[in-house]
Amino acid sequence: MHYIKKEFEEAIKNIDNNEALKQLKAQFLGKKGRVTELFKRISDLGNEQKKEFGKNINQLKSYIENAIKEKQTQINEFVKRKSLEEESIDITLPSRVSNFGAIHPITKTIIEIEDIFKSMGFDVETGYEIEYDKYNFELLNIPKEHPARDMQDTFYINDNVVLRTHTSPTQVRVMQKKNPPVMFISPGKVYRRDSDITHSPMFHQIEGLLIDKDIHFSDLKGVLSEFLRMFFGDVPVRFRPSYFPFTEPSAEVDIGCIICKGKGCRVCSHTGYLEVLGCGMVHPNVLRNVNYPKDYNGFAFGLGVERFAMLKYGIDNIKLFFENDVRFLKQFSF
Amino acid sequence: MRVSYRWLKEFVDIDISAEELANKITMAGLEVDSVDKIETYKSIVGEILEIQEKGSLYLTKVDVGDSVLNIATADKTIKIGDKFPVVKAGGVIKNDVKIEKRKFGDFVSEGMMLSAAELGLEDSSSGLFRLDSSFKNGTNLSDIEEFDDYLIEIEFTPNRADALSILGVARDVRALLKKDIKFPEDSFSVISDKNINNVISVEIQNYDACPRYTLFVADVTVKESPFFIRSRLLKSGIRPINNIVDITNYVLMAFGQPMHAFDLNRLNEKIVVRNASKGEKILALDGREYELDENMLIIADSKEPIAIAGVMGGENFSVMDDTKTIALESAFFDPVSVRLTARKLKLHTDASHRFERGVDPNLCIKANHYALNLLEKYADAKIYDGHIDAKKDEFKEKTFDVSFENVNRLLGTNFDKKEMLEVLDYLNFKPKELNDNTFSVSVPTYRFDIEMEADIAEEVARCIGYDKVPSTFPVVQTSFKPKKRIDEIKRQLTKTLADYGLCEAVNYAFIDSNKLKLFNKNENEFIYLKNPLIEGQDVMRTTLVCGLLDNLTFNINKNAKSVALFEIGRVFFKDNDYSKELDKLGVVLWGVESFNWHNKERFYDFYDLKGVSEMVEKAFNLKFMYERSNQAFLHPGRSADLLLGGNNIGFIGELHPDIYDLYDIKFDKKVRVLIAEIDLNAIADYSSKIKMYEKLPKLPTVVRDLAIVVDKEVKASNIQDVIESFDSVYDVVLFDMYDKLEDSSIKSLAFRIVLKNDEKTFTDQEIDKIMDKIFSALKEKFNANLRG
Ligand SMILES: [Zn+2]
Repeated sequence: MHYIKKEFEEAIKNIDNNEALKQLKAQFLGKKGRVTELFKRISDLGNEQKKEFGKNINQLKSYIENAIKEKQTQINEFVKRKSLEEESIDITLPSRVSNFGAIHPITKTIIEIEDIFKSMGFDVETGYEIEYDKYNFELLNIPKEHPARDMQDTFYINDNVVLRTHTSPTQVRVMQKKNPPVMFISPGKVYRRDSDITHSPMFHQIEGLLIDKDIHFSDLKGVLSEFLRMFFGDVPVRFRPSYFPFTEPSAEVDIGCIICKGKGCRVCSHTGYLEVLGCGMVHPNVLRNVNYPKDYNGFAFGLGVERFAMLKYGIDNIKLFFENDVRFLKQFSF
Repeated sequence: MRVSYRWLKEFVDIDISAEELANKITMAGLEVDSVDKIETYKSIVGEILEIQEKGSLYLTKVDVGDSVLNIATADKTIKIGDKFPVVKAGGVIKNDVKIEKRKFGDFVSEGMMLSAAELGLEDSSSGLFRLDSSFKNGTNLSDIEEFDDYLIEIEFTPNRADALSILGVARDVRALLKKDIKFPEDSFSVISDKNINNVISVEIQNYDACPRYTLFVADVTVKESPFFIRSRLLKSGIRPINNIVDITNYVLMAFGQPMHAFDLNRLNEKIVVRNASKGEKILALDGREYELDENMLIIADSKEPIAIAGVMGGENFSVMDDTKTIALESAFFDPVSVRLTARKLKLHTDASHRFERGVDPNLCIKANHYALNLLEKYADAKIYDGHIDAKKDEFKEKTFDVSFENVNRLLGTNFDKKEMLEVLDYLNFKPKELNDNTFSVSVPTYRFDIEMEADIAEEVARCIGYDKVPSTFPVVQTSFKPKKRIDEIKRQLTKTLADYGLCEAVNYAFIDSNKLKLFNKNENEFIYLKNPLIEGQDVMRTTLVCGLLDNLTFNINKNAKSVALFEIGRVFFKDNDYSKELDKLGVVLWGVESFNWHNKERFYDFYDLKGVSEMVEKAFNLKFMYERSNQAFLHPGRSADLLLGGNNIGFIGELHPDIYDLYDIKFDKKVRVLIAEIDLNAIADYSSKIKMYEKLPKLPTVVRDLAIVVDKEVKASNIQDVIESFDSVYDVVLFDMYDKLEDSSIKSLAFRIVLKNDEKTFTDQEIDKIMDKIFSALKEKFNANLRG
């Protein structure tokens, strides 16, 4: 009996398919199987021995049955795995989705900037791209024959109507419509009669305005520094005096050059700084032009979206934005 | 403007380097673009000992201290004893040009004498740069004071007229470094036997345009200016001409006062400051004739214009080599008047630039005195007794009161009173403390930009430093306003279309009117630019399609095989003298839709484009009506107008084959250009963010297919509508369409219909009954037959 068990264990070890297992089962537990044969020998034994022998055979039988069952499970697992393995495919082949679209880098930049200012509580307003001279210049404290008009070469529709040269007219439009406090940004296209590697006759600006009681130049510094850090990461920010007819005091904002980290390079003309924003406290004349009460004041700012996008994505030619080469656009599908 | 560091130091003590100074004034509002040390290319002083003429060349012997060199030059003006910068053979000058020995017959030129251009002081020179005769032969140029200098390029904002001179920059430096201004010596002697009033008089006819006119007269000798004047003018970007003109320019650069010297003997009787009469002409110093009008101020004699006031002198009345006596003008002209004239004549000069922005009216005499001092020294001037100072009023300083508290509140600072007053004192505002909270300021007459308290706040802040202003965060009590629907739509649509596989394009809003006419026959709606930059950008777009088709051409030329673009932007329609702006979505699809290992190559067609409009419907909870379009630029059989609430809000379709050529696109039967445009303002008006959900069927639904044959002209959407009108129909999908049947007038359509019943489960008979009913309705309405 002991020998049979050993023999069985040897035999089952090498079995790896159902057919062989069936044969093995027949060989040991079948009608003429080894174990069945043993049962037949029981009748030859005495009562005492019968009991003992019978018990041992039954043990052997159930041992073999269990072993076969276990093997059966193993084989089933193996067969299943094998058939799945046979179905395996090249997972490196590309998907069926072949057209990946993309949002234009200018729009991406506007969305990012909008979301930062929205999180600070600013609204978003839109203005007109074709504006009256009055809104684009005069109400912004830029009378006719003011030298500041030289700063912006203007496209004219007729003597009184222009393509807006900046998004600032929206300031006046909104203030004429709404009572203070107001707090909004306004993105959009602007136009200047100018074209070279860094200038495009059409480009995008984002205007910002915050008017309330008791707003300080220090608030302007705080809000814009925070915005620039959120957009560009942890960069040094500096404010230096400048001039815009519609703000006083006025400032230009520089960030430490993100290309050379302030060491000086071609992009920053070796100054270590990049000019990114113009801003200032809204000029009292502008507030008077929209009949705001005297106890209100605030700040305004304007930034060039292309400049921000160029710095953020390392784009070196402004023309790329407007050629709409699909090879360029598809790079912004992220 | 280029400022010489050395010259600046004559006006104010500077104890910091040029770079440090540049940083300081930049941070105070005078933005420095660059600081460059003057390069001398290791040149040395050489004196001409001998000159031998040979053809167009002059072969010279030049004493360079330790040796005598043979040098050839082409400059005709050289004389024995003249000194020039010399670079020996082997040296290198501007743009890495190497100086080599050159042979002219037996003469071997062993070096080169330099012009100002070769030293990098100007763009081009007409001759060599003559040095002062006192310089020792062989001296390194870099050891000569005027060459040991830095040029500081400053970009001035238009408000800072006061700073457009060495003196002006020095005044800011003074306030930053807390030093004193040193004015140059300006005394001179007069000859008593000649009096100005005997030779000339001045009459101002328009005091508004010319509030002040001063004049001196002197006999002079016209010759070359001394070295320091010529080199400083060159450093300032002004070409030296002769001593008289140079000195007027020198004073202009030093003080910011434009001056003009007339040749007195060429003038008739007197000087009249008046408006020109229409059609009057003047030959100006630039050699061009200008036609004047009655709004332009001129300086005239008793006969004709002799100068365009504040802009440019007349050629025939200016200083020439034979000039013996000059009338020296220093005046104050009204900024707007000068600007109007300069702009109309398209004539921008150093003088007009300054007058337009504002020149100190109290500077006229001082500038004249300085010029006379120099003329006496460098033009042998004999100055006539007396001068003319024509003006109506004195030019008084504006005064107003400022509150310490207001300044600090505007800035958000806590600057102390002493600090503020000190800064303003250094800026010459003569601040006077009136009481605890108030002080008065007197605005210097050169500060045209200071009018109110806010201006004083900026002066204080810029001189103490913007970096001394803290950063704070305002708390604003604003009410939250609902987002504008159009803005939401634009942002959502951008994302949706990018996800659908289209790339967003951004195009110029001005386009070619000839192309626009293909898409819009109504030229009355066009808004033309009065001054387009180029011909092909002369009109504001009324459709986005033109720009997108240009993009398509551009991409095809770059060998693109698949172009799918959309643009969300404004279009512009004429509305009387103004415009109406609308937001539109434009789409162009062309080329390969899919080409990969799963499917065979497929090209974009009408139904891909329809996917875009259906997506708009889904995204904004709308339903468009699709009607055959009769737009001339669309394929008549493969295009549709989109209707919403009965209004035409856009189109989708294939570009008409006639238009391909005009965009340089080859027409290909398989590869079509598809364009669409949808009015987003209409979408905003009709779309709703609120939608009631439809209850789900309570019991399991049943699916049945129905295949029918109908006349080709029957619209599939009408059939679908009829099927959907049955209460038991939950959903319908058209899953097959075949129109290549033997009978070419018919097509077969197959629908999968989902049926529901909320009461009880359908029996087969009930289902058959419903399907029969549906079919009967289709038969009746569309003459449909079951597909055999
Ligand atoms: Zn850099």
